[in-house]
Amino acid sequence: MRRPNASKNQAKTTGMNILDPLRWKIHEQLVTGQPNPLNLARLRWGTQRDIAMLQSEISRLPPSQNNFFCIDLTPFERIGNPAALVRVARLHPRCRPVILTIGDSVLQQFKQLPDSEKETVEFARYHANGAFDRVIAGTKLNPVSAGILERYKSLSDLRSVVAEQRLTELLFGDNCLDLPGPGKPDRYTKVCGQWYRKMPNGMLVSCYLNLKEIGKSPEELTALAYEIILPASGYFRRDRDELAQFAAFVVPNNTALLLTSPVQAILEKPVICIDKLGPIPSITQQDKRTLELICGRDVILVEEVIATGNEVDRTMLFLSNAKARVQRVIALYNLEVGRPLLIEQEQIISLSKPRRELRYVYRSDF
Amino acid sequence: MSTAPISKKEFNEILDRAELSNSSVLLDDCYAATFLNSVWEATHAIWENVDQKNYTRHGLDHSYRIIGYFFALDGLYDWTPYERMLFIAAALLHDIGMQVNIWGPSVKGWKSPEKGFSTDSVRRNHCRNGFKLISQFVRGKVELKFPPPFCERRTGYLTPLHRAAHIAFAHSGEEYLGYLAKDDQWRACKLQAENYRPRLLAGALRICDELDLCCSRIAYPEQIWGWNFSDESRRHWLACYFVEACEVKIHEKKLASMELRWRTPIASKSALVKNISTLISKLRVFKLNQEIQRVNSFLKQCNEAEYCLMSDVKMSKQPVDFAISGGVSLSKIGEVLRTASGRPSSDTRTGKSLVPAEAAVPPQSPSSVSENIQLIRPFSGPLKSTLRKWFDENKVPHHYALRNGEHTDTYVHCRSLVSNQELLRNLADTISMQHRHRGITAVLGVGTSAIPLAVNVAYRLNCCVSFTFLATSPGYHETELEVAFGRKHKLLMIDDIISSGRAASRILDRLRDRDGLPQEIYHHSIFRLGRQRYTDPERRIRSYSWFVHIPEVYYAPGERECSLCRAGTELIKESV
Repeated sequence: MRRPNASKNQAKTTGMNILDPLRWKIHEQLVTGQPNPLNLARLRWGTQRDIAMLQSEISRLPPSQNNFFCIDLTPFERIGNPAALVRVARLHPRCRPVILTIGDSVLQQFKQLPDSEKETVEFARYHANGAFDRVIAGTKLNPVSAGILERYKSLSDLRSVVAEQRLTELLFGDNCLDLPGPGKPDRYTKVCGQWYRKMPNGMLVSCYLNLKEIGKSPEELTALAYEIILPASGYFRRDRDELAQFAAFVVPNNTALLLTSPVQAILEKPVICIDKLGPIPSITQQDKRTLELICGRDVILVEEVIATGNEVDRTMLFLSNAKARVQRVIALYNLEVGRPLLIEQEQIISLSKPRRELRYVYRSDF
Repeated sequence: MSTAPISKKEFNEILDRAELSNSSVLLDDCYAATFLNSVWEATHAIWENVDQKNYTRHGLDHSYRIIGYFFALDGLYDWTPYERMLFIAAALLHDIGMQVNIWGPSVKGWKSPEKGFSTDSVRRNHCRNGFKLISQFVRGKVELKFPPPFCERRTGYLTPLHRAAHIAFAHSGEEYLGYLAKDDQWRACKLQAENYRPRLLAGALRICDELDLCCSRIAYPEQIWGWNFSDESRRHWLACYFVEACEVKIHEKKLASMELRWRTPIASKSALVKNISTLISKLRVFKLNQEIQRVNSFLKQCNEAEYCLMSDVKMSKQPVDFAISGGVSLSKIGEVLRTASGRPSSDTRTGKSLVPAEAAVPPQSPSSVSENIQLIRPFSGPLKSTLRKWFDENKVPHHYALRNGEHTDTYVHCRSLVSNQELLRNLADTISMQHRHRGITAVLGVGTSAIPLAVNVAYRLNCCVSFTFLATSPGYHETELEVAFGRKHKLLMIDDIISSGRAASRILDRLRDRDGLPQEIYHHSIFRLGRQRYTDPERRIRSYSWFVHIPEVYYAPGERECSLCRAGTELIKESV
């Protein structure tokens, strides 16, 4: 049986380490049931609790092929306590901390710190529209991160790479991948020497992505929701309010609804499930009140896995009939077997394309 | 824990532990040790002779234990010296209103009846009387004839007394808590570069007061049958009597785990032990969770949600034995516990009834309700009326055949309901409060509309979440029906609508055949429709709960029994 490329051991050593303090704050607020969690979490970073959480996460960083790690403070409106931030960030024994920021407010505070504290911390500054500006190091030596961060012209490029890395790692967690093999003749079949899984539409796949296993714990749900929120919000750019550009999220099946429910809790934008769309969309079976929520509105379609793209197309047909405008499609995993035909490629944001790692094959039974 | 009034030596130990015993500690222009010692002397004088003997103890020993719980929360909140000083003063002051008949006549300018206030009036108004005394003292409108006064009459000392009073008297009821919420001077800020969080202190005092409902507060257990009490009040007494203490531990600076160590008389029969366990679970654990939820709501309302308390309240697994004191009748206790209604009939803090006025659940015949199924009544309040209004606006009256085979005259899609995050939040808060003490480890959303609610509940209960649904036609992918928990879990099933429970029962059949059933299963739905009996012959679900019951919806088990089919009404089949 051919195994996918990436193994669990390989997943442990990551390409780039980025810490997301906003994600931890959002998770805390979800646990306590706080209203308006995103805006409250973004207001300010720098309390004692924030510093303690950062310290705890830095101590758990996995080994990386780079000699730096990033702390993404770009989403926060205000950042306080720069001395404690720098002190904690320098705790990692081998890697240099790079603090990602938008604007100059943190840098102004950083400049007032004594030289001994500024020596081994770097700042990567981005413009209000998310475009990369420069890396500023605290010492006269060349910053270690500049050569790598400069390759990504904007925050969205950098975060896209990190999202791909993270989601691919999650995929190789426990029980997320169903690899066909002998033992279950009703589920698996062998064709041309390789085992495949039978799908309900009669096609065969070399492995099956069971995203319900990824989304079963609240921490992992928050991690996935955060990856969806980043492109939906335009990576928190300051020149435009991307979140105001759409009214709701639409999901085409129950698994996507499970993974997008935390997004609803975080952004307080409704998530509408349009399921039971077989080969012929059952329009009359859909709830009229639900359709009223999206009629004439801009929506974002969230799909957990795109394989052939048919489910996206069916949903697009339905939404078109319901007079909703699909702004973008955000797909957690795109297996690139086919592609949706009723939407432009530029409007599809695929957070991870693991076809090569999975050696994914989609074929008929002939 | 000490049960006698605390001596000066014990109070000095408190000051040492709070690091305030050094007489030169100056906080906001007030010498902490001087201030606290004067408050102690005044309250010690107030509590020298206890007035109300038929209530639980409210004296300084109670204050001492509350302060102990406050110190236990230090791992979560990192109390500053000023906060410690204010809380200690508030803990000493908070119940002085129970002694109004003692100190009232000694206060020049104080109006009290000739024969003193009645017992009920003392209890109901103890916060108001205590606050009135302190605030009038601060403003110089009363002259205390009993020495010593609460503090020196200087601004540096009156300010912390004034603040401590606001914190102290918000411990009961909603009135003083409301003042703290509305007035901006009580918002969290920094005083001399250190945290000052008066609202959090008020919330902490409420929780610590609730934690100290244990046997140490029962002064005269043998007289419980002598006083003119209702059985409901006796059950509240017994719920304190059988709790030895509460242990608070902080985990990773995030979670406060509160374990109630309970006790049973030596050689109790298993039925009595079970009844005591049920009583404590329903009256102590439930009320403590309710209080924590109330405090968290208050902090969220004040935009200080970062101080909300994440807690895990449970009873210790095994009780300890104790020798029951003479005069306490075991048989009478057993009788009172056997007739327990299972829920407190009123909130002892606000006096508001917790049971809705109308009977929402029609009586079930004994054969259809097993001993293990507890029909928990829905909650009253604005949430219920909002849900009922939504149902009336969104129902579609017609003749339907549902996927589970039943026929009905009303159909409703709950998807637009669960797209409302504010409503979901309220629903999830209520569900998690109700089930938190059960140790739920898995949440299962049954059906599409239940998934967002199940996710919100799973966050609050910090457990795994999955979904499933009743697939009545082939072609559904198997993994869509699989779940993420096993036999060792305690499961909470969340559904949007329950009618006969047949769908839930069939889902459990499927789970049993595939992976085995979890240890304990509870069911909570938003709506309960119709008046059918629950069809769960194997009685696997321990309790059914819901928010709104709508009994007028018609259900028939199948086509043969359906009167609408007999009348020839057009039938619409629910989509598969």
